[in-house]
Amino acid sequence: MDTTKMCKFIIVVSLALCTVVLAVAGETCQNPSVASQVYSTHEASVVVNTALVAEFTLKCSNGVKNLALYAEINGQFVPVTKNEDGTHYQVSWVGEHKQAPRGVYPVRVFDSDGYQQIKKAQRNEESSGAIKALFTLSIDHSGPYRGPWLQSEFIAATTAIIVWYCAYTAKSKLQS
Amino acid sequence: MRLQLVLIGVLAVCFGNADEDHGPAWLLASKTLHNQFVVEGKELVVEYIIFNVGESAATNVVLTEESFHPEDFELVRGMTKTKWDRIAPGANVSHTIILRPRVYGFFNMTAADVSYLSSEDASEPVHSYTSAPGEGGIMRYRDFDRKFSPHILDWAAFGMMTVPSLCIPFMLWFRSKSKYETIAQQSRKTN
Repeated sequence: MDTTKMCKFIIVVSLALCTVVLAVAGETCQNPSVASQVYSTHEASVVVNTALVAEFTLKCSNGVKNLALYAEINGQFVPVTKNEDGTHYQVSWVGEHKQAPRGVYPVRVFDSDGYQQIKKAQRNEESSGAIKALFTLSIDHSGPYRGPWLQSEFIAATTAIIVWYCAYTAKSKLQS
Repeated sequence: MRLQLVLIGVLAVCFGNADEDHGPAWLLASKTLHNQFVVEGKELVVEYIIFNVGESAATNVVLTEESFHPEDFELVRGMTKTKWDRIAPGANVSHTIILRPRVYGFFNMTAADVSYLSSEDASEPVHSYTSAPGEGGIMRYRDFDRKFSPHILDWAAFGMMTVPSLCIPFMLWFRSKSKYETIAQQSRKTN
């Protein structure tokens, strides 16, 4: 009798565990398709720091929504915010201009499993570059416009001095 | 054997609920502008940072920004209403929106709203506010341009205006000089 009860107990627990595993697996996004819009700061004359912002919508083939996502942007791991119905997501980063030189910035987005792997890698002081992201966005930062290379007043003053110098040397040659 | 299993189960349940001794979550939020000047028609970067200084995780954190009216500000990038599922105790999160002012003049930047559940069994959300940057001015684009643009067209116009007063005496001198040199050459040839 005890053996039968024990077997039944084991079967029930295994079924429960399988259900839990399947339910958790259903939370992963299968075949993500992403539509994104990005932004990077272009005006350094008014803005003190550079901002990199990526907004995206995510469609999963298994219809999962409202995911908890994490992103790696410019070396930092940040949680991804979303709107109330969980369809629209945003990743943002703000820092000094020199921390964001001109270039293409890949933004790797991870789901909660990927993020757990990253935290584990960080705890073991390993590189997290090998961990597979759910998908990657790109922010093409053309660099902020800081104004012209040479001030126009400087060019005007230099031109005036050059013209004066030519006239002065010509006059001296004539009078000598 | 069975009694030992039951004892282990009871102990696990007891230790599993140790979180109930922690205090509630407490969020502090700041709203800052990353602009030296706020100019009509130029980008304005607003960053919100939310810190959890409480002892539990804050869940269902919703940040709502309603003080930038679409008539006065164009939303270039970012969401004015966002949500985080969970902010762990001691952690912070940040959110940025990019705006472009459509008008100029004095503007009072007020706080945004933050609402969250301070513990796992809380039913009513806690409503809080971010810090407010306060009153500031949005510069007119013409005034900013007058102060800071390179004025290349203006300098080119100035250059064109100085050309007559430089070129007319030069041409007079050059003409008489070349006439004199031709005469001098002719007299040298005849001599």
